[in-house]
Amino acid sequence: MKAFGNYHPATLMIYFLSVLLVTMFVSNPILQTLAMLGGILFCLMLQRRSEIGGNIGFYVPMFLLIAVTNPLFSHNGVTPLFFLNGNPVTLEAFIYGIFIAVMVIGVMMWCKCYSEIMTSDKFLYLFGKVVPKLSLILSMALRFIPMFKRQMHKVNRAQKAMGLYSSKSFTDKVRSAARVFMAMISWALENSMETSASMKARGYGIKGRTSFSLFRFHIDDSVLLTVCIMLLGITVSGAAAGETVFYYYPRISEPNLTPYAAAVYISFGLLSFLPFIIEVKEAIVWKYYISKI
Amino acid sequence: MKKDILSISVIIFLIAVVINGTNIQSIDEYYLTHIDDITPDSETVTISIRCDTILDNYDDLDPALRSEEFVPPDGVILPPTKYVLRPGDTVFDILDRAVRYNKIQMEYQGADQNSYGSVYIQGIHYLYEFSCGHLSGWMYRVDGEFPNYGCSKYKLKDGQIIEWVYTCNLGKDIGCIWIE
Amino acid sequence: MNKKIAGFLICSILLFPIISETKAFADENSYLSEGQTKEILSIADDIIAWKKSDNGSSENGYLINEKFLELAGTTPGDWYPIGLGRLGIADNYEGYLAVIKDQIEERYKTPGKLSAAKATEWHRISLAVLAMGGDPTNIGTDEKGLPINLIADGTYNRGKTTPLGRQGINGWIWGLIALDSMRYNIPDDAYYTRDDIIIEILRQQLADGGFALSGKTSDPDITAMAVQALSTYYNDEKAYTYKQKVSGEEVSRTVRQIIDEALLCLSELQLDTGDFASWGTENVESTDQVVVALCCLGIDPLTDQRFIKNGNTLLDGILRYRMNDGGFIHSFTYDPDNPTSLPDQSNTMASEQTLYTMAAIRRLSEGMRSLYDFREEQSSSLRQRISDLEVQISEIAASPTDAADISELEKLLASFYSIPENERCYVSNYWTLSDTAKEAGIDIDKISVTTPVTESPKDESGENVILYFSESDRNAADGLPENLTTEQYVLVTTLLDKLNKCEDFDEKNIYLEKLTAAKNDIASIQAEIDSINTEIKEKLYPFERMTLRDKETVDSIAARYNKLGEYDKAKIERWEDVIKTKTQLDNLLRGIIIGTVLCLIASATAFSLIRRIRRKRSQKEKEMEELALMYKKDE
Repeated sequence: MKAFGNYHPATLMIYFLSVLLVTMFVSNPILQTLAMLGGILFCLMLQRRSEIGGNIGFYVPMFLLIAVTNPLFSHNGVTPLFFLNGNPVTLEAFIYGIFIAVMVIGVMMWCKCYSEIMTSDKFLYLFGKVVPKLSLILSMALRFIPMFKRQMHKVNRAQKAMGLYSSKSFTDKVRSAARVFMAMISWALENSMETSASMKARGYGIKGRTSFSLFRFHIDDSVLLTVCIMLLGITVSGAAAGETVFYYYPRISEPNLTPYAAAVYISFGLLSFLPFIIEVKEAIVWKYYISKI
Repeated sequence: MKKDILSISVIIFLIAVVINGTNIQSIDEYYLTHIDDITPDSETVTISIRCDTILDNYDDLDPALRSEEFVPPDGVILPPTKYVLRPGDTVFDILDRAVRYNKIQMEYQGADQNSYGSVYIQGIHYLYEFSCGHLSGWMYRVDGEFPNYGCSKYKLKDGQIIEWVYTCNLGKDIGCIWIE
Repeated sequence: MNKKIAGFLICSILLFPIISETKAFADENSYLSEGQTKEILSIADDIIAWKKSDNGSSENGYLINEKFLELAGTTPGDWYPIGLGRLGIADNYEGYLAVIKDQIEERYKTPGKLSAAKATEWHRISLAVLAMGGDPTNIGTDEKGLPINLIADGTYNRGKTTPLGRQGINGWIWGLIALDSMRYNIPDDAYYTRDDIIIEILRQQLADGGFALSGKTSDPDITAMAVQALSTYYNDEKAYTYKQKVSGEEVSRTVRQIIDEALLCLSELQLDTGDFASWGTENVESTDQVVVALCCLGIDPLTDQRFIKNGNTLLDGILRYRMNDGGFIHSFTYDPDNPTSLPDQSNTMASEQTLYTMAAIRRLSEGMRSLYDFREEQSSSLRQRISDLEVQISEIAASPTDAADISELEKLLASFYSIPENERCYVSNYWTLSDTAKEAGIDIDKISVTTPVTESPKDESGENVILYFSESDRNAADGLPENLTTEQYVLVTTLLDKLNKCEDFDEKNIYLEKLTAAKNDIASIQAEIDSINTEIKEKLYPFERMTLRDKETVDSIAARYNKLGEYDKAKIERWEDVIKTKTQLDNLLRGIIIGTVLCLIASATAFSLIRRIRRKRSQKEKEMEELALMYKKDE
């Protein structure tokens, strides 16, 4: 069920960029929390149930680690909680740490969703015409890592079958690994040359070359795009107007609760919950059709 | 794989905390064990902490600090106060004792954490370096002169006068000449 | 109603001697003019007013309140009661006497008694007891149940334990003053005779006539104190033979010669402003002591030409140090060795000495006994005899030649020696008579031996006082709290003393029991406080070097401390250091616990990590084996 993934790549790209940029560059605890919640919910919809437990086991300790690290290094703040080795550990630094963690986890969630939704064909479709070389390099680079891993696995197994790694000695193991790595490098160089030669042979990047894709810009896309840009516009203009300004040091400021600021929070909340809402709506519709059969 | 990295970083974090020390004190305990009795003694030095320059550059100041709580209207954070000079005391020792005695917030970078080999004062009384423009920070002068080295390397003598002053322009606004 | 009247009557009787004394001030012909009298009294009044505010006593009440009573028996405490008593100002003498008595009893339980080294503790306390109307030869009982005799233990028998002069010449000086305060008789089996003490003082005279604690420069304070002590013997014709300490020569001299030289020395030391400098610091106390010395000799300190410099009298010198609040400062220069005396803040010691100096001036001008002579006042007839003799002496011709003059001199000498021996020192101008008689070749010794002493009739004396345990006293005793603290010490001691002295009444035994129990409780609390204090001093130093092994000690001290009442807690010295140490140790322990827990968590995580890696590896191996097996099958 990737109802959201069915939208046009351009719409999706604009959507992800707007959410990620706002999350990363507007330092406001409410916006960051909204972004993280939206990201988590969207992620939940995208993932298999079996994966969820493992993910919680990773992200919760990660969250705590980030939150606890900040007060150890930052001693600013007017409310010392206790003193660690003669340095104050302040409430402000701790809260700031928590929201750094919220931001980092939020961004990680959205990146996870992005990689799930924005497959490389969508990426290529988007940028293949505009910046063919760059988009090719990008998609190749992105593709390279999993391919490298796969190839390494292959080489490893082949070498093992030939009796490598049989020694228990550490130096031998390192030497074996180095051998595999050497082989990998030559493979990678060869592979890239081969790829470029093959691409050239197929006329990639030549003027007038067309490419086929199934993506079409529907009315739904324009609706989503409009809504997305509208909500982003409100959020960005609010942030630009200083409505979302928030200080952690030396004393935590009161969150701004003017109507304008409230409008910013609501619109960004809507923006980040949008995919979740779409997915839920789609699921309901799907269930409804199934029940009709 | 992700989890392995996470557990390694947790282990590193815990070990780092243990190595750094686990001396945890409540606020009362901290001030109790760190307050030194100031007894009348022959050798004393005078220390003061001021931030007058911020008052002239209020527009550059971090909006979070624009309050009389953080920038006193007369610019005086610690009026000239006498402290007992113990043998081998540096400017940093006296500053540390003075701020602890008066419960003034201070954050510094230890001598082992930077390339100068001396303690670097990052912030006093919530006013940090770069809090008032990108040329701002804390400087000190002893008997009216700005020493060209770190405060934990300046050994004090009886009767000297230490002034910690906040600059908004690399010392030019407080009469420091050697930074040119 | 009856009780109230009885109480009022008793109060009147109690106050009677004081009132009559104050009245005596007004009646007599005074040396001083009315203005001067007023000035002296207002100086004294202002000092008392300052001390009251300094001590927290109410303005119209007594200076000696509970807080002041805590100082009973100490240097900052005792001199004010002496000043008050000698000025005849009504105050809480009963309370002071009761508390000082108890303090003496307590301190007698320690090995050094009042002090191991300082005999002057006995002397000062004796004077305070006398000023409060007590008897230092019989005050309280020691551990063996024998009455405590401060005079014996502090003066003539002091040498049995420690030499009287252990602390220097002031031990001898104040010993003599204490001994002569009531002209005490020295028993035959005593360690020192009076002459021993006098000679000890005389032989320490310096070349310039003065005296000093140490060194060869005369110090005005010690010189004046020596004169005060010796003043009793000024009219003695006895020559003492002794070896001088400075020169090593053996000399034979009278006390008069010594005092005259000392006065000359003091006159030289006086500054142009009228005051004196001791150890290079101009100060008020030295000037005070000189005034007291002159008063003891019967010399008017305000008019004697030897002590007017540049038109400034000694009183001018004293008044330089007066503050607006009525108190006095020690000096105008700040002395880092003496941080309690600031040049701009009234000082306890400067004020107390000035207070009793004013008493000395007043007593001289009113013809009363000198400051340290606590005997009953002279009868009016004796006083008349002495002043008549003084007038006659002042009229004798300068250099007598004819027989009539000589017989006149012999007559005067006879009337001098007919005065009881202990009263002869009050004839202030005897020295003129003595000198003239010697010039005329009269054998004074013969007259002194042959003249019979004639006593003067005594004045009617006051009645014996019976104390009454009043309603308010009962209420106070009933109102004692369940959990006693040392705060009630003064109250309980005063009440118990009163109860012991008062007439019998029905519940006397009940009260006696209750108060004695209360006193014992307080004594045990005091013992606990002392023991905690010693434990802190002995076991918890140096504080910086405490380890976890000392935690038990610190905790037990803290537990004992917490059992004490709030008031007693304040009496634990250096408690802050104990708290500091305790927190430091607690922090250390907490740090170790936290560190262990963190290490445990880290090792648990590391363990699970290693296990996972192992599991993965073994899985891989298993896969490989399966693969190998597969290939085998294929072959």
